[in-house]
Amino acid sequence: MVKNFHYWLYVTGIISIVSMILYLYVSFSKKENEMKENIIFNKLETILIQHEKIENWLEEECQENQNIQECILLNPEKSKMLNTMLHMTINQDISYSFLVFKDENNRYRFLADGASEPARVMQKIDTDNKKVWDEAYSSVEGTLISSNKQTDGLWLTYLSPFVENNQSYMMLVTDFSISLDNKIKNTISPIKEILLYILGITIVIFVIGIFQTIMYFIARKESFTDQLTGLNNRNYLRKVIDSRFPYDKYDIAIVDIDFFKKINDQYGHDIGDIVLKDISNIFKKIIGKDDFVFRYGGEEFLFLFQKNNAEKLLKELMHRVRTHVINVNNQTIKFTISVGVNKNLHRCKHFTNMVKTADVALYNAKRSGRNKIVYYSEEINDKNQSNFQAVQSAIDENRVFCEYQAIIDTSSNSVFKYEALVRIKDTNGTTLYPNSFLEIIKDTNIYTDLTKKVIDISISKFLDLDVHRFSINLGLQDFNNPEIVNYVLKVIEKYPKLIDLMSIEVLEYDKVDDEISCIAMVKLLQDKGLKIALDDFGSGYANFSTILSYNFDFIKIDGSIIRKVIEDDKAVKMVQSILAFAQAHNIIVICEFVYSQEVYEVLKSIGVEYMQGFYLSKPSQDLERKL
Amino acid sequence: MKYLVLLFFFSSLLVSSETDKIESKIIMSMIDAVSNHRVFSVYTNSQKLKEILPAQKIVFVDDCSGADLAILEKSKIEKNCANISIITLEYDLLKKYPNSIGSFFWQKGRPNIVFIKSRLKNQNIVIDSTFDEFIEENIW
Repeated sequence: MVKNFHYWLYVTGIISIVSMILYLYVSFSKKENEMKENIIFNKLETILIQHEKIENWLEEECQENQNIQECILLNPEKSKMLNTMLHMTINQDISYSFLVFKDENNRYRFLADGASEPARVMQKIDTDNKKVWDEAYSSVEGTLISSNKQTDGLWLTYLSPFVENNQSYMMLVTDFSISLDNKIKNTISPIKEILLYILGITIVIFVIGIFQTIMYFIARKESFTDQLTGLNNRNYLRKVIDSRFPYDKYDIAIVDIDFFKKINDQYGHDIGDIVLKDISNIFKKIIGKDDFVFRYGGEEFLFLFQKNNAEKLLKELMHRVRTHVINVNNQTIKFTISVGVNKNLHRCKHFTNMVKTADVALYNAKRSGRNKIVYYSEEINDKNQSNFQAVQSAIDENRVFCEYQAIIDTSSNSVFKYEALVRIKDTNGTTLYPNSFLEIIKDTNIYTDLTKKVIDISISKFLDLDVHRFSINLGLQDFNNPEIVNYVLKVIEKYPKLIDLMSIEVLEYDKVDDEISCIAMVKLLQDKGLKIALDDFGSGYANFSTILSYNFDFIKIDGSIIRKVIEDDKAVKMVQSILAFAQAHNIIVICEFVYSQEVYEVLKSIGVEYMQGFYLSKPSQDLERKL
Repeated sequence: MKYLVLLFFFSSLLVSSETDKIESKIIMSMIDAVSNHRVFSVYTNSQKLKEILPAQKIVFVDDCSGADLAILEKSKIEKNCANISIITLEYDLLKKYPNSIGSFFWQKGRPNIVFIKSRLKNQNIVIDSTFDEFIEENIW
């Protein structure tokens, strides 16, 4: 608004200056004309006086002659006298002054000439505009006409007929020199030239200003546009969402291209770019006049839909994307999108919260199978919000604690190491277990904070004792989280003893987004000396293919297999196979969920050395084996 | 100052080229009137005319002996031109050249044409009727 005000001020200023200059220019032009008229009027007065003088003189000199032309033609002395009289009028401003008459053939012939070398009497003179001369000759009053400046150097010609009995018998012709016109112009011209000069400079400044303004708007447009997709970018989003934005009239939708990384990996980044461009074109076609779409992240887009449009347009959007096909190198690529929508912007205080809420809905869309639209539900929100807050306040108020469950080396019946298990005490003093809060806070900063807290609590528990080893649990996805990896690196650098004391058990919740980076991070920590275990082996994604990708130091067989060993021989055989495989690759095998003596005996009989379970030790805050 | 000098130079060029154009046009129409539009060999002692007249319509020759028509200015009296028709570039020359048939000259800043009736008749020259208004009985 302030900038616009400046532009308007600039434009108004320039227009005012131009108007002022034009006004002055027109005024001076008028003045010039007035001056010309005054000068001509003065000159004409002189001519008329001369005309009268000649008339009077002729009356006196030729009173005996009936025909004045004859009087002059027959008396060379009188002709000479007339020449002299006419010569008196010639000066810098009047080039020629002569008397002509019309003969019987309607040709103009000289009677007298004021020039230094006068034309011959009776000699014909061709006129530049005979019709005008004829009209002037037959009128009773003088006529002022423009002359041909380019050829004869004349400006104006005054034709003044001599009339007797309403009949012209000769005409005084007076040619004004162009120098008179130039003289008038030279008086006014410098001022007009200065005005034109100022006008020129002003126009140049104006044009430069306009050019710079256009350049500014182009640069501004570029800074607000994503170069690849041509959509608005985050800079423009920041501009749009100022305090005046009518949030109550809009819904926010966050759109994410499903498995976009796979498209990039499989077909290359160029094809990935084509997908982004294509989908952006679909977005551009579909949004209404007052809707907005922004490229919010790599493959993430943010929409601000007008309330009455959102549902219809999103359905249309899903349909178009589902039916859209990209043909590349004889291959057909189809893709889908997941959409999270927040329809209650007015309930969020800040834009960040509005987006976060839509992000939660998007997260739910992805978790529930992708390729769908999920509207954020207030009910879920309330529940999640309270859980978020519960965990956050537990961290802030130090109500996070760990219980430790021993892993037993059955060959010596001693503790091999302890597994740290996170717990939260709610405000009523009730202990909350990870299954009640971990899923909700996953992919949030609270999760990262909680992980760091567990590391801190465990370190403080075991570091000073310096006798027991312990393990902490991380999700495989956590290795894609630089904050967590850096924190682990930081603590082992600070407490080198941890390299021997601490190990990490990897829980594979989901398939990781960036497996290459994940493998690299696991290896990095192993290179630092940390031991890494694969937890819950045999369930979910934790299987042999995972072992192929990583070099785990331990594998912990999942409880779902162990619990069957007393009734299902296949489970026993499976454990034996895993043991054989692990021994061949120097991997230590731990069996969890050892809940009874029978399970313990079976596992012991097939050579399992390390076991964990309620039969051997329950989780406890103390480092004592509780049976 | 420099600007003014340049302006003066160019405007004088403009004026000069305009008068030359008119002059060329009028003299060509006079030649056409005399030659009845056939290709004519012309002798002139005016350097300016040689430059401004369109060479594709007339043939310039070096002296009057091979010319159909002479166009003469005052520079000197051309004695070899006694046997051909002459157009003078000054009114006074009409008297000096008895075989001159007409004249083109500037009078009071205005272009003027004169053909002398008796001389046209003597030389059996019939000019285009559009020039009738310029035919004079006498030389004044």
